[in-house]
Amino acid sequence: MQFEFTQEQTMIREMVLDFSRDHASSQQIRQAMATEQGYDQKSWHAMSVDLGLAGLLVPVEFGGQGLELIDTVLVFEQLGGRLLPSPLLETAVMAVTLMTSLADEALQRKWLPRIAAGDCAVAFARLDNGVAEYVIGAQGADVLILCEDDNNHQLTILDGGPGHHHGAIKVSRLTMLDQTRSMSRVEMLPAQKLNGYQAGKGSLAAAAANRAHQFSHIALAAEAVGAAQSCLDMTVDYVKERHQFGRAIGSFQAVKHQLADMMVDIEAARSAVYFSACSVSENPAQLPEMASLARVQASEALTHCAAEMIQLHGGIGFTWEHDAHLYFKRARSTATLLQTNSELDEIIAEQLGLNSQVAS
Amino acid sequence: MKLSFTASQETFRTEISEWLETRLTGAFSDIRGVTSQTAAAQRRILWEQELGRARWSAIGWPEEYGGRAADLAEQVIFAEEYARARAPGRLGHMGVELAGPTILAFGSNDQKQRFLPSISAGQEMWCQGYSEPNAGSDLANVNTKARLQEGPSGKQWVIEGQKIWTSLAQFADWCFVICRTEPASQGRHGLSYLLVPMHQPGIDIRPIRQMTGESDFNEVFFDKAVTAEENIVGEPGKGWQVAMGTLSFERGVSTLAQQMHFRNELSEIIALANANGKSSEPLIRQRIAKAWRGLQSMRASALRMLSHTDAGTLTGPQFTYKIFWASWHQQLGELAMDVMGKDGEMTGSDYQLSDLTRLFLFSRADTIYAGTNQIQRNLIAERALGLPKEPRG
Repeated sequence: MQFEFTQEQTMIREMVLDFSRDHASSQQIRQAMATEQGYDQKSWHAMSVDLGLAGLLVPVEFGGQGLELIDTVLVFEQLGGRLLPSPLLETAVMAVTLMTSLADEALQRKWLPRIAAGDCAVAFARLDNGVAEYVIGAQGADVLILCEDDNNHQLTILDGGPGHHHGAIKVSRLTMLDQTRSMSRVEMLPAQKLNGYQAGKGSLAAAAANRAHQFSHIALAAEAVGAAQSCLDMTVDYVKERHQFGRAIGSFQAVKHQLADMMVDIEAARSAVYFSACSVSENPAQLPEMASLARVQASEALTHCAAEMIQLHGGIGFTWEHDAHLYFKRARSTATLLQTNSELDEIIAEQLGLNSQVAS
Repeated sequence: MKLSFTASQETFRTEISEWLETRLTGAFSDIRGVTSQTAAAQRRILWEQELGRARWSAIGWPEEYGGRAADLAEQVIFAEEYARARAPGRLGHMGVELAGPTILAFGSNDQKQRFLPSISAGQEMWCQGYSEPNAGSDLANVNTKARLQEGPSGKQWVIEGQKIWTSLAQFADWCFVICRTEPASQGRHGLSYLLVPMHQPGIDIRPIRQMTGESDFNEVFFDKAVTAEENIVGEPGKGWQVAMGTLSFERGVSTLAQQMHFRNELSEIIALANANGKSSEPLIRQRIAKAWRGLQSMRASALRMLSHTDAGTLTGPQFTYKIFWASWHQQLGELAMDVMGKDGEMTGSDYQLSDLTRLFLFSRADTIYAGTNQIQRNLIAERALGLPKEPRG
């Protein structure tokens, strides 16, 4: 048993921190939010090609870094500190996990090296009755993976992104509260045949799709921990500077105690995220509840911290100009992405063996 | 980062779990699962001695003092197996977890020879003389005094004053006491850390009846109580540093044992909810899931803390752990009551409490002792977040 980070992991963390300093200023984030594809091409290039972050989980034989989820989690935690929009989650975690979970070497040989090289952004849509609501990253994707859950979980990979499949699918970008995540509605047009790679179906496809979502929950959780930590750091800086009644407001216990409670939630969530990321490789059977643990714990911490950040900044925290609202909105979109927190808690309740039938 | 254990560690796990199972289905089956602090005390002191004979009492200590020089992973395994086996709460923990490590770290060679073997053997029980009526959160305001005087067999400390909230004082043979040895000194200065025998006429122990109806804590009055001159740990007047050392030992491996105990409580709540149908209520399901998340987070935090014990600086979870578990445990008590419904409010004819009802009441103390939630928040804000100190009078 060993629960501390290696030197290599510390280096990954610092590398990402440097990246954020160069690419994720408030201005750069706001510019990226306003792009049509939902992210800034240059920063995505730096992230995926220069740093190789898209290939974190891609096995070495396919040109990736062959790292574990725990390493990936460190990257997401650091990136989460700033809210730079990028297709990293859906590409490096969701799509890669899906592909590595399928026993299809041809598929892996075709796409994984491209992803690892930073050559494509990938999105993954799970459709019911031909429609997938709230698909992350579909608009700007170079490759789109569809899973028809109502059609025996048929998996199809569409190369070239939505633009190349006009006749068969329709992708509509949605305007959402959280502008740092690009969300779209994906629709299969009736009576049109999909011209893509058939990547399997049935229970294997469903298991791979679920696993892709569960890994994403953990990465998302790491991102939320990083974001919550930023809320705390920025607020601590502010209350040391801001003076009222002749003293820094951070010297008042009413303020201190709110900040202390933020740290309590953050540390618990961070522990939960590291723990669940480690357990994925050591106890794969526990993945469903571990994903729920990390996601809900971190999502609640971020929700709490972002709200307190606004409160403790006073009026300035309520403005469009200050970044506080970006964190507050990110908190909201985290609490509902892929599944809601209460749905995830229900997964835990089931795993704990709580009978849902009313006793007769 | 790795969560699993090596093969030899798993062998160690089997050894301890088999030993516990044999004893707890055999000679000590009557005290299996006893969690209240004071119940079946005489049997539990014998249990301490049983642990000591097999060198399971203080496994992290050096072998010469009755330990096994166990490393961190082994201590974790022991703590987990101990709680998993529902072995009784440790009556010797004040000695094993607090007095012993303090003597190991700050004591003289003679003190180590004199005290450590009897602690690890379960021969002598200890209690902690810190809090006073006017020194609770403001511990440095200690007012109990000791002065060095000529006694019948050489110089001795003569102690006057009162301690309060002293757990297990009624079973203790020794007490470690912080008291003022420099007249007119104030605050952290002029305090000393004395080891005082409990069985003497100058000591009067009065149990405090708590809101549970039970008495886990005591008042201890010192009226010309004495201890030999050499029974001081560290230098005279430098007791504060020694006392703070003891407090930091509280955040060790024992947290993992505590968590296993919490896990047993949560399991009991789950079983009860399934039995009485409350498990089908969405709100109850959600709260149980949340409790489980909190428990897992605590376990992960403990592992993070234990990985950093040698780093010298305190890490995030070390600051936040106390308030987190105390608040969590309090909520668990509330959840237990909601799962039990009206049945949970019924007591025995002599006001005896079920384990879960006691949890509900006793956990009100969790957020008070060992640093109240308010003090914890101050510590986090000032020491971890670097916020300006509260002006102090």
